[in-house]
Amino acid sequence: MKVYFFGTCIGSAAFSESLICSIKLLQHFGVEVIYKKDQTCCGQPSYNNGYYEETKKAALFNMQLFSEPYPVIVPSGSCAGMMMHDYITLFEGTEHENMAKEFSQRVYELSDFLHKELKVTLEDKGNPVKVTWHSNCHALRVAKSVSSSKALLKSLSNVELVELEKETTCCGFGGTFSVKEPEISKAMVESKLQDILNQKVEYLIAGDGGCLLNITGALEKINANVKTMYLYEFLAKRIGIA
Amino acid sequence: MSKEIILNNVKNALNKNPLQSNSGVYTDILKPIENDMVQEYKRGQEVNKAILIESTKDDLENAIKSILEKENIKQVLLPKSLQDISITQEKIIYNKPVDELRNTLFQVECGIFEANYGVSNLGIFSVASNSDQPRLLSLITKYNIVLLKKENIKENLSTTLQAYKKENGDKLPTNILFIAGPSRTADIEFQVVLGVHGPQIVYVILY
Amino acid sequence: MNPRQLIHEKVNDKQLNKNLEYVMYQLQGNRKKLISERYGDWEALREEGKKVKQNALSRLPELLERFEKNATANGIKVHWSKDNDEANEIILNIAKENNINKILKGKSMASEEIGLNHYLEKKGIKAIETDLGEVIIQLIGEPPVHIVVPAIHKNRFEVGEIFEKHLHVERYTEIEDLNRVARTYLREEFHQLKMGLSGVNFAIADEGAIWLLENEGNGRMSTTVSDIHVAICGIEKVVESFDNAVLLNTLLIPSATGQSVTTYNNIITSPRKESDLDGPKEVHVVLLDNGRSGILSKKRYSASLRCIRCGTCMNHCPVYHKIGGHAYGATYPGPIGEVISPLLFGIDKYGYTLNLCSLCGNCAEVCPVKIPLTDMIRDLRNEKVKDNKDDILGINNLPKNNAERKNMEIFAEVATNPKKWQRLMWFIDKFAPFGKPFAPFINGLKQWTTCRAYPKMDASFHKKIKNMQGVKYE
Repeated sequence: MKVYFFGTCIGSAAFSESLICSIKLLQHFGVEVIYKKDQTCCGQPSYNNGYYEETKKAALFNMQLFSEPYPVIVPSGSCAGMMMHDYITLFEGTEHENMAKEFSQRVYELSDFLHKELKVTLEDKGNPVKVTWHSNCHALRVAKSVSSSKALLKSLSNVELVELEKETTCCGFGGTFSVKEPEISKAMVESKLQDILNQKVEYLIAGDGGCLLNITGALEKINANVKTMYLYEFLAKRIGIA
Repeated sequence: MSKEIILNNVKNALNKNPLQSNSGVYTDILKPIENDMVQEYKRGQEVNKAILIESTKDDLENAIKSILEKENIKQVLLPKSLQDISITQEKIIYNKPVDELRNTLFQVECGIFEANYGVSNLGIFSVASNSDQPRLLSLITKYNIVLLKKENIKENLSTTLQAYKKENGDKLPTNILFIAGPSRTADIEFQVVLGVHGPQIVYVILY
Repeated sequence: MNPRQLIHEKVNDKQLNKNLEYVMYQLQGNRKKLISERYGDWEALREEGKKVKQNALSRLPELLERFEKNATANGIKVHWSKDNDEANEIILNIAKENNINKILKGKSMASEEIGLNHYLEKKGIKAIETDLGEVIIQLIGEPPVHIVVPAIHKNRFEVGEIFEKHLHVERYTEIEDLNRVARTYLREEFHQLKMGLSGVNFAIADEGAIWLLENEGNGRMSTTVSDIHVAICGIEKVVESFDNAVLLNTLLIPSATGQSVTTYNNIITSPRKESDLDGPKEVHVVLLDNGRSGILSKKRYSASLRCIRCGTCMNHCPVYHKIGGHAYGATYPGPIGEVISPLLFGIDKYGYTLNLCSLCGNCAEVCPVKIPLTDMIRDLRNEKVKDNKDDILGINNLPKNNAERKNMEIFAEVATNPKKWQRLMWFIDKFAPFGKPFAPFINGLKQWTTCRAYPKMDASFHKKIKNMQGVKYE
């Protein structure tokens, strides 16, 4: 099976290793990965600020780039949500409406693709470890891929998943929200940290680069001893392919 | 004048932005815990913090008496329909307009009245105002004793309102009340306190 | 105080934050527990609730007229007010005609919206709130912090101080005692009451009746022991039948407070009749447009009129938790407020509240009538910046944000130009590790690093993937 891999902007700017792991996971389960070197960003930065015309340019660029009917695999619920849901809204009533519909229905969030399409079984080769999980809001409510992400985590035999008390509450990232409303964002991420620290775990795992940048930065600032890791990097390491 | 303006604005708005939708249908999705409608009512009514007493038609007066004694109530407000009840406490009959009884009404401790219906799925009772049973009976006193016939327990709000309509034809009672129990608030620190502006202690005698 | 200062003040008010967040999570938890344990297909019921409101809105002229006809036949006097001035005037005139200089109020957000208390006060009429939460905030001259629990930002000690100072009682700290103080204070007022005011939860066209929900009994007092009862009712509150109202009630109460039912469901069909012994001699319903028909005309936003004012969007909003209702500077705070305040009162005045959202989507997920609040907030951001301006109140008074626009244009350019994009990645890969000393001087990074370490970037991906085995790089 051939798939396109969409690296996302935050992923390619800050989580190169995690993206490589994501590709390794796909390859490990027998999928052939095509990487379009010209790919850029899904368009969320402008979309979320209401700049729809600018966003359409970025979206159209992507849709045209991933033109063959292969699945488009996105290692982020946020970007996947944008591409599978918001593209349709953006192009509603325009000449690209059908194109958007066709494109959107072949976008998959990576863990959803692994769990629901490939139905993978993960063989955990790591030592016992206690982790907690942060749900990205768009993964939870737009791409709806969180149940797959957690199912994969839970399937690891040596990993104990301790759930956050307020798992479904936003971490305060929200893209440009974090710099437009820095004080509120700060208060939000501080609550998230408290919840994470209360769980007494070694790792916080998340499936989205934005939240991870936010939470990791905030944890580092207070010198907390919880490590953070991108879900796919964690999975790849646990099954011994990275 | 404004009526025409508003209606015109609304019509123009709908011309510009036509909305289409079939109306929604109510289904009772509350899952009963008890199998029997009366049992479910009783359970709910207690969850709603009313004190539930079971009795019979013949024993009703005794049930009322024992509550009045237990709570040490001295004065009782009664609707005309219950004025012949034999109790030793001072009886005030609500048979005059509120304007003539105002001072008394604001003093009296306990109101007794008959509920028209019970609503099983929510555990509440319903009372409609009429010349026999004025509205304030269920509001102005610290204590309420409510009499409810088991046979008058309906499934839910919808069927109860249907029953009112059936019973009254086109003329609905001026005021239909559904009451869960004592008046309450959670406005300070989200802590529930009973007895704000309405009754603090509500007995329901089911018979 | 400008919005920025206001937000700064609220986000740093630790007491507010603590009180609010505790209660908001309680409300969330109660709702969730109740719905999952006691209700069947809640999601299907939400869909039906949405349909009921959407259907009522689609036939609004007809239903409003039917309501008026039936209510009038029942003996209720129906008034129509196109804006707040007119609504205030109608209420003032009713008071004046009856020589009334004091009214008591049950909880009504519509009365907050039209600024009734303030208006009446200027005309020499005192309007006294009777809902416990409203009493507390009225004594200190604050607007509600939440539409369902208006004084939830004050804890028992603060309330004790407020009562001591304004009601001249000793300082109590137990909630039971505070409740008793309020009961005693208001009993005296109710005793004298001539004119009571309330909101409306549902106006039922087929019956010409109004349906009011509450827990305390103050609403019943205001609408029962008074000679005159005036109810303010937004035109979007009209539904067709009792069953419609029952359905919406079933959705409203669990969403609002995590209860199945309020203590009182008060359905009023007429004033006191000849044979009745109590109840108001006059009942007035003041229908209020005040910008609602304007919202109805807008395809993107008309669904916001489905709102049944349960407040659950606030309860679930992580931003609201941190700043509380006052930071929005408007009658309606939280997600629904971000949508309707700009539309009702002007995007120039309330447009800034659109920033108070991380687009997490929690509000839309729980809204009992499925208002797509997150999409509407994003769309309203779009109204602020798009070229072909729609007819949004105050849109032309908005200052242009040229810097942001420029940034977005650059973004679109880079995001559609692989060469530029790769150069940007190359730049980050090369220079990000050395950027730390400059962070305080770079807009964006400056704000970011106030509570976070300098971000660890790793943009070596393009370099690595080129040579990755088995990957078709094209």
